[in-house]
Amino acid sequence: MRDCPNADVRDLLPDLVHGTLPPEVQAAVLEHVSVCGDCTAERELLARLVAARPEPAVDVQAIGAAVTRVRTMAPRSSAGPLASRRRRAPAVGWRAAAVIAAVSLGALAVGSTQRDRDPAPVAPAQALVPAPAPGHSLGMPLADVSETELQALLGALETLEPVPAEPEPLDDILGGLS
Amino acid sequence: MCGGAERVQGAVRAARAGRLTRRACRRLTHERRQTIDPNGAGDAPSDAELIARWQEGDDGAATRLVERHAPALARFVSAQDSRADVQEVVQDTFVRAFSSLEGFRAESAFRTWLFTIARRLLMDRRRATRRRGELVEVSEDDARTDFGALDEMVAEETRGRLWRLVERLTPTQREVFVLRAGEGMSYREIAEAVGTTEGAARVHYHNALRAVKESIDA
Repeated sequence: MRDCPNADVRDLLPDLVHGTLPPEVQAAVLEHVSVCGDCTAERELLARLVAARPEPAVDVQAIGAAVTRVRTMAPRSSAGPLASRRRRAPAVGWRAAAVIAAVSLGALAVGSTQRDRDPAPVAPAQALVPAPAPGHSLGMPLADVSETELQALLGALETLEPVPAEPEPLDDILGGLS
Repeated sequence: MCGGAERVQGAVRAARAGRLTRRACRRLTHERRQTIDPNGAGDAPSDAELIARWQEGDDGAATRLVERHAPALARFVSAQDSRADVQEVVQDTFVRAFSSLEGFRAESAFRTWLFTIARRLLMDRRRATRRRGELVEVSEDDARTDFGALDEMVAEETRGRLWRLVERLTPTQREVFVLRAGEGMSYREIAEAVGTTEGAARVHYHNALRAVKESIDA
C-alpha cells in the first residue's frame, strides 16, 4: 500500500471515516479520494480498523453509581468548585501561621523552663508545649521532639482560634512570660 | 462578524476553490468540533452543561456523561492493555474525574481529560504489575464448531488479526493511532491527552499507519 503524496488529504482521512468533517471540506476530500487509488485504499483500511475495534462491555450503571458515591463522600460546595477553593485558602494560611507560632513558642518555652521562672499566667500558646515526660527534657533541639509530643502539639492546634490576617505582635503573645 | 467566523468563511472559500490547505481544513474541523455535540445530536446537552447539572445535584447528568464516553474509554483501555480490567479502569477514571472536577479546565474537552486520566491510570497499573509470561488456556470447547458459526468465526478472526497489527505498534504509536484512527480525535486533543505536541502526534500517527500498512503488505 502506497502513501498518497497529498499529505493534507491523508491527514483528514480519519475525520472522513468518523464523519466529523465540515460539509465543504468533506466534499473536497471525497472528490480527491474518488480519483486517488492510494487514498481510497487508505480510507478503506481505516474503516476496517474502526470496524475491527474491540468493543469491551462496560457496566454503565455501576459506573454511574460509583460516581454518585463520589458526591456523597465529598463535601458539596453550592457556590461551585472555585468558591470552595477560595474559601479554603485563608484556612490554610492561618493554620500555617498557627503552626509557625506554636513551634516558635515551643522553643521559647524550652528556654523559659531552663531559666526556672516563677509560675506566671500562661499565654494560651504556651499550653501547646506538652509536659516533658519523666527523664525527658525539652532542652533538646526541636527536631528531636518525639512523635507523641509532636502529635499532641498538632492536636492542640485543632482547638486554636483563627489567627487574624495580621499576626499579633510577639510581645502581646508573650505578655505572660515577661 | 467575529474573527472566528471570518476565519471559517475564508477556509470555506479556499476549500471551494480547490485550495484544500492543511491549515484551512484543520481550522474548519476544529471549528466544527467546537460547535457540534459529541454525540452528534443537536438537542443533546453538551458535556459542559451536564457537568454543571451534576454539580447542582443532578445525578442523572453524570450517568449521561458515562454513557456518552465510557465506550470510547473502554476501547482505548482495551487497545492499550488487553489484560487490563477494563471495567475497573474505566470506572476508576470516571470516579477520579468527578472527584476532581475542580482541576478540570473547561477550555479543553471533557473527553480529552477523561482519556488523560485513563492513560495515567494505565501507566500506574503497568508500573505496579509484575510482568510475567502468561499462557493462554485453550478449552476443548473452543474447538467445537458448527457450519452455522464458521462464517462468524472467520469474520471474527479477520477482524482480530487486523486489530492485532495495531497491538504490535510501539506503546506511543498505539496510543496515538488508536485515538486518531480509532476514535477520530484531533491532533490537538491527542497531544493534550498523551502529553506531547500536535506535530509529534501527527508524526506518530503516520509512522504507525506506515507500520500497519507494511505488516499487511508483508
